[in-house]
Amino acid sequence: MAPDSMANSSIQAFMDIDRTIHEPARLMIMTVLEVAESADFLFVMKQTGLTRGNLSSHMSKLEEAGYIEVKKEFVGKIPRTLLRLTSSGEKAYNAYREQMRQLLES
Amino acid sequence: MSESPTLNEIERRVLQSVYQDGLVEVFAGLFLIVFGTIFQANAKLSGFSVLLIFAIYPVLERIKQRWIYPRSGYVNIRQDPKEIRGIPIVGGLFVLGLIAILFLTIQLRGVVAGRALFLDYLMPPIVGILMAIGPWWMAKERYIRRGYIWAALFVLLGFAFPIFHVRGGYEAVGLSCTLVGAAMLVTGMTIFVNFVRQNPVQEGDHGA
Repeated sequence: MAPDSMANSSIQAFMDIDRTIHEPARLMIMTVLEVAESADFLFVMKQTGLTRGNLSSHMSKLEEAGYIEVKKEFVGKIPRTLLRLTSSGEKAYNAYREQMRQLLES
Repeated sequence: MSESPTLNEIERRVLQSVYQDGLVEVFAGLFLIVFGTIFQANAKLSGFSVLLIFAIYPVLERIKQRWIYPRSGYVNIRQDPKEIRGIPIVGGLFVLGLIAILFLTIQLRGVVAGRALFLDYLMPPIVGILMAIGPWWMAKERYIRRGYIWAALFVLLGFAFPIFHVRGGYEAVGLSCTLVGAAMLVTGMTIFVNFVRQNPVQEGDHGA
């Protein structure tokens, strides 16, 4: 491959990074949900160290992208917000990790 | 929390979180004490204590809902399909191995001497190794390092009783289960009390 086209493909690879996941807070949220089948808001907040407001706003962006599913429910009288990764979220997360691995190793 | 945890650290913490409250050890300890005590008294009856396993899960879940989820949040860990398939395979292989060793010792030494050799000298270490699988898995796959201590204790006692002629086969198995169970129960209770003290209940909606 010619040097110019190699450089172009590297730049293209950087440009193709999923920016929704690439943001550190959202990446942490996605990582927690990748290990968990489902987790509530409090658990994700504790594991990521994000504040309530911060988590809430990043959660909305991930939900808009279709990467996570947010379900509100009651356990007894206590409201609970349950989060889970969607199948497209799981695919996007795995693709992101693979892409980053390749970029760092190349 | 460290300033910038790696993704692997986050994954590890999520996996550890299920065991951080010590409740699994409390219930495993209780089960082992009951099982071990019955096994020493009457090995045939000990099978009934397995029924306890079915009672444990709903009680454990209720206690978690009351004491743990309001403090650390709710999580349901994704099960690795390979792990799920592996459990019955490993368990089945061990039971088959146990039967094969019993059969071989009886064939080689005759019914009475073979049975005695198997029960007094071979069964305790084999059961010790079998019992060590659970805590070893907890240590290796869920990063709860104290699982290695429980696994080592099971194996150590399984070999020590027959070597030092402390007890007969059934009693050795029963006693080692009771001893490890008691150690698990005390450790689990200590971890649980500390967890509840260090993690206050988060008031209000656990959501956005």
